[in-house]
This record gives sequence, C-alpha cells and structure tokens, in this order.
Amino acid sequence: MPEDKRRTYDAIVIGSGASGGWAAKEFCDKGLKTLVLERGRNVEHAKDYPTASKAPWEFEHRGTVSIEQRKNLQGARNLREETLHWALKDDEQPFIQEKPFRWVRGYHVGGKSLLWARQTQRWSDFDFEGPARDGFAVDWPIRYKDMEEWYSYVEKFTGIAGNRDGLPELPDSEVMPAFETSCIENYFKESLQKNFRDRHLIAARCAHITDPQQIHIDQGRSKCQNQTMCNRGCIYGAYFSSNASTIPWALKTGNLTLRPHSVVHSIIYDDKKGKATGVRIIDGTTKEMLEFYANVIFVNASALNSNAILLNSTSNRFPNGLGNDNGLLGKFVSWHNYRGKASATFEGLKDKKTDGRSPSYSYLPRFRNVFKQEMDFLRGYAVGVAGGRGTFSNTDMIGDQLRENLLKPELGSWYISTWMMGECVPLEKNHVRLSKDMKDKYGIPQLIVSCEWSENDNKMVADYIEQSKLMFEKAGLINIKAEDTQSPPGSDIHEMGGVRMGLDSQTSLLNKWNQLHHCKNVFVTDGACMTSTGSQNPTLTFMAITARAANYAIGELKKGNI
Amino acid sequence: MLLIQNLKQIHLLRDNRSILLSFHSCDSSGQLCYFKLFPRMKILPKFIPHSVAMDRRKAIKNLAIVSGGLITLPQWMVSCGVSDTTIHQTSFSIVEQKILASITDTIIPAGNSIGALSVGVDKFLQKLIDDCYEKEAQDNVKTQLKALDESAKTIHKRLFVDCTQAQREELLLKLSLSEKKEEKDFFDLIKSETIRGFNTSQKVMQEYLDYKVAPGHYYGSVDVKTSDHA
Repeated sequence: MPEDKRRTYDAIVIGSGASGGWAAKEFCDKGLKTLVLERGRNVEHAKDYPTASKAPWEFEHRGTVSIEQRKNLQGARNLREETLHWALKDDEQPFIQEKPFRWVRGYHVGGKSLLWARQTQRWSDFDFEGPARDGFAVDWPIRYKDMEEWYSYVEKFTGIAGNRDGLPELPDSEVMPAFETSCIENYFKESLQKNFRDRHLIAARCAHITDPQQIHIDQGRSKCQNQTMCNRGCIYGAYFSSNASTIPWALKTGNLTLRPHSVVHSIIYDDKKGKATGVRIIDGTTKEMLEFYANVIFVNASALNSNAILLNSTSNRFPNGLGNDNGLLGKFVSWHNYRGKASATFEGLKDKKTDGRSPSYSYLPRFRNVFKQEMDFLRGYAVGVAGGRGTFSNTDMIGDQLRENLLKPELGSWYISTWMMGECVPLEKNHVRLSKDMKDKYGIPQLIVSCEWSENDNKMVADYIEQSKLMFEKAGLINIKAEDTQSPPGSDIHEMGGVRMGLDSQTSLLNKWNQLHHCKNVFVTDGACMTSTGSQNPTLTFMAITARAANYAIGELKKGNI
Repeated sequence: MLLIQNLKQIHLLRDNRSILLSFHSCDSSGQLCYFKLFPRMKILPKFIPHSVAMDRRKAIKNLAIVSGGLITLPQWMVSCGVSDTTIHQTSFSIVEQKILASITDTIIPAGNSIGALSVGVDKFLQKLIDDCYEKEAQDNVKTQLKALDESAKTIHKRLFVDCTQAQREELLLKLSLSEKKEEKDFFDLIKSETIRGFNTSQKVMQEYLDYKVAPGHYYGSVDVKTSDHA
C-alpha cells in the first residue's frame, strides 16, 4: 500500500480528552476507521496509574516532590508525588502571558479527563438563552431541546451519581444514587430553604459509578470505592475518563488507531478541493513532520490549543487561520470565575460525625439573575459546598504528651467551605493569537494569551463574598471567612471560546453542528466552541455536544455532503 | 556528564518481588548504551553496541555517577516505586544520624506504645532533607545538630544522645524559644516533619488512625461513639 494510503483514515480526532474520546467512540462504533492524535504519551487505563491506591507511607517523601524532580516543572503548581506523572514539563509548550493566565494542560492520552473534578451539571435554557437575553456575545445556535437527548446519551454511558432534583435551572440527569451529603451540608441546606426561597443546595452530580449498570460493566468499570485518590487515575474505572471508558471502547471495535506523541502542527486545507484533507503533525519522538489524511476532522485539543491549531492552519484560502474569514478566531475567549472562597465552622451537631470519604460534595446552582436580570452585574455564579468534621491533635508540646495526642486525635467542630463558580461574559479583547517570532521546540509558534478580569467579574466576586457571609450568618455558623483570592484567569481550568458557535458566519466560526462555517469537514467540539460559559462545570456539555456533532458528521459523510 | 537525561526506551518488568529495569541511554556524545537496573544498587551495563563502542573507562565512570545516586529517573518511574532501586546515599554522617534519631525520639518517644524511631521517622527525615530541602536549609540542619551536641556537652557534660529525655526536651525547647532565626527554623522544621513522618507512617495510620486506602463507603452523618474521644 502506498504511504499516503496507509496514512488515510475516515476520520481524524485531534486530542484524546473527554470530548476527543467521545468523538472517537462515536466514529468507531459506527464503523469509521478513526485516527486519534494525542500530543503526549500513552496512558493505558490502570496499568499507567503508577500511584493509584498507594497509601501515604508508600511515597518516599510522603508526597513532597524532590528538588531534582522539580527542575523542569517550575511552572507547575501543587506538585505532589502522588500526581507527578501528569505534570507538564516547562519546555513542552511555553506560552506568552500578555496578562497573567494559568494554563493547565493534560498532555497525555486521556488529557484532562484524568485530572478533572468530575462534576457534571447540565445546562438549561437559562444558560443557552443567556447571550440573547442579556445582550452579550452572540446567540447560541442551539437550545436545551437540541441537547437534551445527547445529555442523556452520554450520561448513561458515562455514569452519573446524583439525585433528580427537579430544578428548572439545572435539568435532571440520568442518575444512579448520589453520594451522601454530610450532616453539616444537610443542615446548611435546610437553613437556605428557610431563609432564601430560591437557593437549593443539592448533592452535586458527578461522573462516578455508584451502581454499575450493564453498560458500565461492559466497559470494564466498577463501583467507586471512596478512595478519593481520583486525580492519580482510578484502577476501578469508577469515575469517567477517556482512558477507562471511551478509548478502550473504541479500541475494542478494531476501528481506532491511537497515535501518542503526535503534536499537531496544523490542518491541511486543499484550495482546489475546497476542504480540509488532513492533519500535519510533528512526531514528538523523532521531530519528523508527518501528514495524515481523512474526510472529516474533529478538533478536540482543549480550548486554547484548538485555537492555536486553527490559527496555525494557514493556506491561500485562509491566510489568517482555518475558517477565519471574519477575523474572530481566537477572540471572545472566556473562562469561569473561581476567585471567591469562603469558610465557617459550626458548634452544633456534636453527636454526629462522618464515616468514610466522599469524592463529591454539595452544589448550589446559580441563583442570581436566573429568571430575570436583577443585579448590577450580568449572569451569576454557582457555589460548591463541602462540609465535614475533621479531627485535630494539640501539638504545642513535645514528648509523651505529644505522642498521646497524635495517637488519639479529637473530633473537631463541623466546618464548611465553599467556592464560587462564576459565569464570565466573553469579551472580544480577551483573546489568544500566535507569536510571530517565538516558537516552541517543535517549531510551532507560541501562543500569546491575553485575558483579564472585567468589572462584571469583580462585582460578582463582591456579591459572592457578601452572600456567603449572609448565608453562613443565617445558619448560625461562626469563624466566617470569605475572600477574593485574586487568582488569575485560567485557574478554573475551564477555558472556553475563541471558535464560537453561532447562527451567522459573520459573527461566529462554527454553525449549530460545530462545523466551521467555511470548511464544513472540520468540526470543533471542545471548550473552544462555547459561545458563552454558563456557571456549570462544562465537561458534560462538551461531551454531549461532541456526541451530537459526531453523529451529524457521520450522517453527512454517508450523504456525501462532506 | 552522562547520562540518563536522554532515555530512549525504558522497559519495566516486574517479577514477584523485585523490579527489573532496563533502559537505553545516550551519553553526552550521543553514544548509545544499555543498562539494566537491578533492585538495590546493582547497575550493570549489559550490552554496549560495538558500532558505538563506548570507552571502557568512561562507562565505568558513568556507572560511578549512577551508583553515586545522581541518576535522574523519569517521573513516572520514580512515582511508580522504582525509585527504590536508586541508591540513597545519605549526606548525614554517622554522628549526625545518631543525633537526628535522638531528636525524633525526644519529640515523639515510644513510651509504652510506638514513637518516631519505631516507625522510621529518622530515616524519612534524612531522605526528605537531602532530597527536598534547599542547600541552605540542609546546611542549617547540620550546623544545628552540631550546636545541639555542643550545648549538651557544655550544660550536661555528655553527648546529646546520652542525655535523659528530660534533658533532651529542655535542650530542644530552648531552641523553640530562641530569638536566633536559624535555631527556631531548625526546631520548627524538625518538629513538623517528625510529626508528619509519624502521622503518615503505616503503623500509626492503620493501627491508631483507622486509615483505609479504600473505605468503600461514605456516610455523611453517623453517631459519635464514646470511643471517638469527642
């Protein structure tokens, strides 16, 4: 077989994270020969989780990373021995922060699906209709009714623990039993109900299996064992990751070729054919440039990197980046506002405690500006709520008393801590673009990230702080603290936009099926496609959008339309 | 210097009890060599391709570097426990090791149950300070170990390790109240890391703190029993 034929597939998916994994699964299930390009190394489920299920004493520095190991990881935060295998080396992909930005990347098979907080709250029309109602960004070309069946579709396969809460602002998911919420969370919930009619504290919905169904057993996954060591990789496959779920599923069909160490350089556009014909990569090991070809290309490289790839995909037809006739590619980048944090303690409920460990917590859906605009800022924030009762030992002394105290810790007071998850309004000035002179070690232009907080974000943080204090006070909590951490954009790890969906090719890059308006066989279905950000953790929506778009693409391929 | 920065290929084989590691590597001039790492100390060049025959002396020198503990393993190898195969040559002299052990024993003595020494906190501290602390902090630890021994000799006319528990506690607590930053830093570092080493040891976690790697459940509200020391 000639070389270019061997490099030809029906579909190419760039990226193997949560959304890329879903594209691969859908294509392979429907019989398409699919190539998944992943820039990092391979991570095989269970086998490549070196620290999974290890107890603290099994780490030679009990979690602290040695100076030697930190050398090429100066840019990484919260380095721990437990998760060191996911850390991104400084020289892998330097980028230029025109303004402070924290860009967390998962460059290995599975991407950030191995690192995520596993929270899966659906969007409602209060989110999809946000831009149109409040007059920002552009109108979403889809509504909840377009997404509902796809949410259900991915949820059944993914496995979601949660309750059916019946809230219009947070439509119910397909669920298995929720994790219990703690005594203090239940108490706080009651207080909120009594004092604030519109604030409903629920058990957060998360991608953990609590009651395995046949579809999960078929994936080789099993019930959560409450290790709460999720971010090391889970040998039970209890939480959803591409590695535990979609990738091995796709491999089993025999239709998937997974190619790690494939750093995508650009998408190849054929001026004569008027469509994209393949993908150019730099082999991470040999540094050789290679081309792969396919009829349809899905871009799921994670939001900012998907932007970078499209911007670097220049041709005679598209001198400013693939599909970028209107010059909006890379603009209206947005994220979530996680600046606010609050905590308090409670002196009651001394006859109760918790037992075991929970990988999840409680969730307070957005309550500001939901049904109508009522504040002096646009949109609102959801709140994560975790509460428990820890133990403590007095360590003021040394000697025999210290030993006794350490061996017999006492139960402390109940505590509660919350964090805000605010919707950021996408603005044109918040953008990414390619550097004209700086390149990375693969010869790919470095990405310039230029994003900053807006006055709307500041007002929202102030409201969260004020409301946190008020909600705590009403519940009789004490030691109340609420603060603006001033964390830079990107700290939420929910970067979105830059290749937004819309109805009009003049003001958006993608249509309602996630196709580039001007290059119909290229689809973008990761965070980059997001027109607005909602306040929900976005991965579930990325997965549902991807499954929807992939099935549309399969139909279009069959019809010969792309 | 060589060596293992340019790993070409790594094979990790596990048999029942040990980890056998082999890897290809390049030296500074790009020559390929092939090593096998056996658990605990043994690193043997198994095969050096003839075409890129490496100078014998250089190979031996390279090995010396490896067995000197300077080997940099890739993160995933370190974190999957293969680091057991690297050689930790402690920078602490025998005398320093003894004083350090005695300090941890003073901070958390065994009494009638267990203490810092019985769960190996002294060894943990040596490794932690050598690998994870900057040179400045390392040097201060050694300076203060020596100074502590000097104080013991001056005040109690004997080595620190030969002092009674009460004498050793007094000597240490004096550091905790010291106005000299170096002394206070030393005390705070050793005390907090001793507590960490103790609290994260297998014996303490499993036998005293009821730690389970996989609890298999979470109950948000259960009754406190009298045994919970509430």
